[in-house]
Amino acid sequence: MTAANQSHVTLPEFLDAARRRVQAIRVAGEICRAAFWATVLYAPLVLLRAALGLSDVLLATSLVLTCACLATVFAIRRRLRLREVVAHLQLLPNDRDQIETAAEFLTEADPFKRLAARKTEEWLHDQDVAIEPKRRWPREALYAGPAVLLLILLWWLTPSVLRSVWENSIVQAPRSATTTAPSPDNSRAANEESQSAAPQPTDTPSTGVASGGGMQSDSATPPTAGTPEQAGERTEATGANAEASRSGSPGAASADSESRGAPSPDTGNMGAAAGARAADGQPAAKTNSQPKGTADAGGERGGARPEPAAQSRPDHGNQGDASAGAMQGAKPGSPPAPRNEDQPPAGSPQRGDSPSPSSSLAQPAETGEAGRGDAGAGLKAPAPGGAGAGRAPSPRVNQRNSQRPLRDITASKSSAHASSGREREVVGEMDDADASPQAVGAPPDVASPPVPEPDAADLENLPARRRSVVIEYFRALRAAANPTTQPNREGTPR
Amino acid sequence: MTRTSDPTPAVPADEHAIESELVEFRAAFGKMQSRLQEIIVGQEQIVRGVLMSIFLQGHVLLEGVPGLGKTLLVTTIGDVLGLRASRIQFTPDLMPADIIGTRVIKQEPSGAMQFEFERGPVFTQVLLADEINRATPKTQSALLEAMQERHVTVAGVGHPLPQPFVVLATQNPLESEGTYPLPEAQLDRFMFKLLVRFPTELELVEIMKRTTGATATRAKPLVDSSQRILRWAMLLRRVPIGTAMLNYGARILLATHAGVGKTAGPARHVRCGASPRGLQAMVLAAKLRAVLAGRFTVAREDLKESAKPCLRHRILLTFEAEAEGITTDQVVDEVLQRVE
Repeated sequence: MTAANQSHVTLPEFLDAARRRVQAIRVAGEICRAAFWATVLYAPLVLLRAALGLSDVLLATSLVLTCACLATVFAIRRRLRLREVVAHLQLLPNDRDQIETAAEFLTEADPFKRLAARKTEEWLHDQDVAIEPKRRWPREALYAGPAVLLLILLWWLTPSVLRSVWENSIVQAPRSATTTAPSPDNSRAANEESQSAAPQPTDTPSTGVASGGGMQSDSATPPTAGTPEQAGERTEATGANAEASRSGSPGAASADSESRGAPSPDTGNMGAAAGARAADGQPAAKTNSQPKGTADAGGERGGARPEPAAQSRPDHGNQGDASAGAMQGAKPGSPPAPRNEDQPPAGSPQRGDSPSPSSSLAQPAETGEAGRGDAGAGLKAPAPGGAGAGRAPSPRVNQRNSQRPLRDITASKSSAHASSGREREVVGEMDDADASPQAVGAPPDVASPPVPEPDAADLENLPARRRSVVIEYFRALRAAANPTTQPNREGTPR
Repeated sequence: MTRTSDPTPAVPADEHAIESELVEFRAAFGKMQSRLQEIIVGQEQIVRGVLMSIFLQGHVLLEGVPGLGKTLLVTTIGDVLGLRASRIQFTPDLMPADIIGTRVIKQEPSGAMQFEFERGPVFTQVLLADEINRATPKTQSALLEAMQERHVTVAGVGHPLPQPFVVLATQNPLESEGTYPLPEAQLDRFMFKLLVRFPTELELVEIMKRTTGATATRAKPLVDSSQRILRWAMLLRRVPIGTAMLNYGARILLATHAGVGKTAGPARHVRCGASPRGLQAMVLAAKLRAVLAGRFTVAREDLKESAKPCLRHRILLTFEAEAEGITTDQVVDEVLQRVE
């Protein structure tokens, strides 16, 4: 406030201008104070936002709004009165007392008091230096900057770390694999790393039976990274890769197919891949553990067989793998018989039955357990074809899953491998079916209705992504029924 | 009881007239102090304090050893201000009538005998009560009414004292034998308590030069009438003081009081704190200091400077504090440091 050099500045004008300056500084301090407390308030939320499922945008918006509200409340609570202005100016003690007393006498009629006010105004007019307000910052304002910086750091660091920890704590699959679950953010990189870190196949030939889990358990130890739920998420996250694989782009599809093939033997992906290998009559380990980026593997799986599995994952995860495994398990045998609505023949793509005895023995009707890639199923049914004989996804489960958020689906996928009661409750009906006698070489469940192909109207009502999944799924079914391309041993499409 | 008083001088109602009067007073005060310093060597604070007490119409208790020029100060002030000055040497056998006067039988020319009031030495404008603590409490109390009410009552008849009326009492801090310490009620009547320090070597040399010569110098009066002094006194009382300053003074005063829970701070040494008269004296002295500083309102600094002379004789220390050698000045200093 330049009190002196302004011509004929009155005391009220001086005080009003000084109050504006002081109030501005005070508001700035209150904003800093509010920022500090808002930071303190939101630090736990930022830390746990991944676990709580809070949106970043929502959290940031609420943080800013809280800061603004707190600053407003603080500023209103500590608003400055005119008589209090003098105490916030940089003045000598006597000058401060003089202005303070004169401000009190502004409305007085006593000549002595008017004289005091007039003399004060003259003193203000004669001042050569500007009277600046005191720069008093709240104590919290000193810590506001570091607190905000820490919050930003927390914001950048917490999602990957906490989410991976959270997932690890939830998943905890009973595996002996020393896997490190990749975060969803960099799943592709993690998958590639897992692929690159995966041991090269020992080229242990399988017996050629349509066994998913069984084959995997018998085959060489597959790569370590990747859990079913992560595979499902990867499929979600790498939808472009799936599309690329469908388009037959070897380079793009290879990564995706490898990411699906990388998981441990108890994964549904492995079930699908093993089913495909079994259908092709190739050694499961060899097909499964193709090096990353190889065009033959990518083209082979991306072009034909694995597609249904990949596309069906978003809906119900590993069941799609099971179906894929079933379909692929039906490959190596004779071409599938025409579909019979009443009693689907063995080896129909929907059942995943293989005409070979091994596959028929391993037909886990109504279960889809092995097809889901359940380790227990794969290992419980060492009989060939057990894993690859999954059935098509149940529409009821599909519908239920489609109404749940991705996290729940992921959790249910992961729960397929967990042994807790809650997780098994999610897929309880399948587990019950798994316990049925049909799981061991039982004839196909004739009561299970085949999945009807949707018409165009149904497809129109589906979301675009899901529609493409369904289309690809049934396209794969048709391809399984009338194979026009058969992957050769080298994995290149014929 | 009859009571008469001099008419109160009018105070100008115009801002500029007030300002010119205050400026004139500031100049006159400076001249008076300079004139007094021509006679009194050193003791600037004492001279200033005594002058202030006259314009504030307060009484001063001077504490110091004999021979420091207290009587000379009183007579010189009377000369400079044109006031009547008298001196009373207080002794143990001094009676109240010796101070305020008594009724004597007087024979008229017609031969009739009647009582007539013979005024005592208290009927003056500047009274020096030398070694006031040597008189008995009865005699000391006779001075109470004169100091507070500014009139004396004899045989049911009130006799006003001339205005202005200022008592300058002295007491010897060393000789306590045969003395009657002033009661708290009488101490409270004194506006200031000034400590007369012993002169320095240079001051002693100057005193010898001035007092051992052939001629004794007398100060010439600077004020033509006592009405002018009263006018200035009324003007000084009108100097405004803000509420914040009054609050500050009240906090200082309350800080001198012992209370429940005041186990720390200066109050722990205090048996009895200062009275409201102490705050009145502080405010009046602050007003005068503000005018002398060229300001028209009182600042905290004025109150701080006035605190010691106004409070030091109004605070009673505890026995422990006295045993530890703590003085009231130390207590006031601590109070001023703590109160904001």
